[in-house]
Amino acid sequence: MVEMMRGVSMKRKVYIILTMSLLSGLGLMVLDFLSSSRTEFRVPPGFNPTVVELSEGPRQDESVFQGELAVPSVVQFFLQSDAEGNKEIWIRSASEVLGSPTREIYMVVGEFTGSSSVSVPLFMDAGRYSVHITHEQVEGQVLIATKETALEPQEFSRLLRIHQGDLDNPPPGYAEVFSISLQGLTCQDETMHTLSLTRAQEVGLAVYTSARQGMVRLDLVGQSSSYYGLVTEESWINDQLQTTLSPGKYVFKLTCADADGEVRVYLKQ
Amino acid sequence: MIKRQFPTAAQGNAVFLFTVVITWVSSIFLQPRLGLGTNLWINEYVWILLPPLLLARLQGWSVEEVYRFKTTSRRNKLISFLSGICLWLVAVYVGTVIRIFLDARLGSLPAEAQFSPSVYQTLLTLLGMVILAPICEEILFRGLIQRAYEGYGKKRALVIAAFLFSSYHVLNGLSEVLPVSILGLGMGYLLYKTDSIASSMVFHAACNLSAIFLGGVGGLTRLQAIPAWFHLAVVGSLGVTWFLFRGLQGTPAEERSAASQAGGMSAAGAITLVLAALFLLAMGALEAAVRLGLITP
Repeated sequence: MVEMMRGVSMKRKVYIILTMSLLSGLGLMVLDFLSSSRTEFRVPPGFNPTVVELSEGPRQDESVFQGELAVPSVVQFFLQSDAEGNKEIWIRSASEVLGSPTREIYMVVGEFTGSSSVSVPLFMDAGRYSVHITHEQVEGQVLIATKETALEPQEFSRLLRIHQGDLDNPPPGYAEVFSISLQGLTCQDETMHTLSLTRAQEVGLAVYTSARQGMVRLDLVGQSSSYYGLVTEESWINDQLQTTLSPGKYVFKLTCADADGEVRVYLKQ
Repeated sequence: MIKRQFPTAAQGNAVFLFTVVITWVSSIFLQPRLGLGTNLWINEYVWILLPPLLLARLQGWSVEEVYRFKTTSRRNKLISFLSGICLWLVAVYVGTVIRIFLDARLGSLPAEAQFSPSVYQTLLTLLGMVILAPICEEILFRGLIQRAYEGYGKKRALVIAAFLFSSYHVLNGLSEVLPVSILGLGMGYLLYKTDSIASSMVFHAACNLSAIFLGGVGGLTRLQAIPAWFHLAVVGSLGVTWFLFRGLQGTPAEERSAASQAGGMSAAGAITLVLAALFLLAMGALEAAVRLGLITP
């Protein structure tokens, strides 16, 4: 009987814990529902979000926020919007943006929510940068999230050399897969190299171009996934792209006209 | 004379099959819509906790007696907590070895998109892991299933319950099965020795706390290679666990009387068990197919 009383006491404790947990859990669920019903944005971990309300009125090249880099850094931008129509985003840097011919990066954000987004990493030297937006007055918001990570001095030097046209500077552990001179070459989706995977594996790609004129685009095309515009005449550096590829064949396709320089591809060993 | 009533293996298997299938189906629909935390709470309260409690109510069982809602000494609770941390280290070690092996032989699983859950979903997940899972899953696996199989012997029951507990976790990934079986054996042994579900609940809570702080925050569950100190830590953990278990107070309750011993398993019990096994095997095969690139998720 004593043991049964003890059993009742323990049962009561468990039921009390379960009941109180349920009540607090329901409260958390309600709060979560109320906060998420407002927006479908999903900010990646470590990013600082800025939300621009589009219904307040149209904006024409208006600055939404500014940042200052004390040291060379990679600034990752993550953009989403729950509003219809295109919103133009300009990122202007006072200092060099590695891999870009200009210090202005232009992006367009359509209606991207949930798991869809526009995201781009920019390697920038120390200095100020600002983000500007142009849009019509519509219902909805734009999310601009940034994450700044300082670059090691050696790493920045390596990327700077690539930016200046010396492509023989892959990340440690990467080996050249192929390179092609663009001088006098005109082609459309021409196969440069085939990558065959017998099992799903994580691959690391480093793709660079020293083209400073004409048009160039390198794509990686596979059965289940493709990457278009690994490098272009306006985006010269795609450094350490990490992704998991399913088994199968992947083809590097080049499109170019009136370009100079070369394209070089490295693969992580 | 008080007639004791206990669940049968068939009843345990039926609840197990129901829980396994409904958890998977429900999560597919609800997790993307409601979030990881809310989905966890629904799984624990509705699909894991409710069936054993409903079964006890329908059968007129004493929950305290059948599911062993008995207190245990503070010493036992402390031993349960500390051994939970130690065996969790062992489980993570085994899980890391298996994960590395599977990645090398079958291929990696595609990386999932990383998004910050809301602070509310994070809180729900943490509270669910630390409070709900230890209570609800122990009531199902140690309270109902281990009790149901005690007709075949108490030691055999704890092994079977641990096996079913670990096979359920194939839904979390193939690399989780063997590590969770280690933890399941620990929980089952604690229940066997102390005759109190409180011991296994405390052990379970300690494991999940370790997963949060040592695994999540400390990064132990994201290792790509096993450092030398980890080998030593695992050997030490096993030794400490053995020593702790020796210090448990209490003696196992007697085996059931011959009258209530199970004979063979009923046809219904066998069928539900086979169905559950087939379902879980299919889940494991699905993961293998994704790793091999035969299926794109």
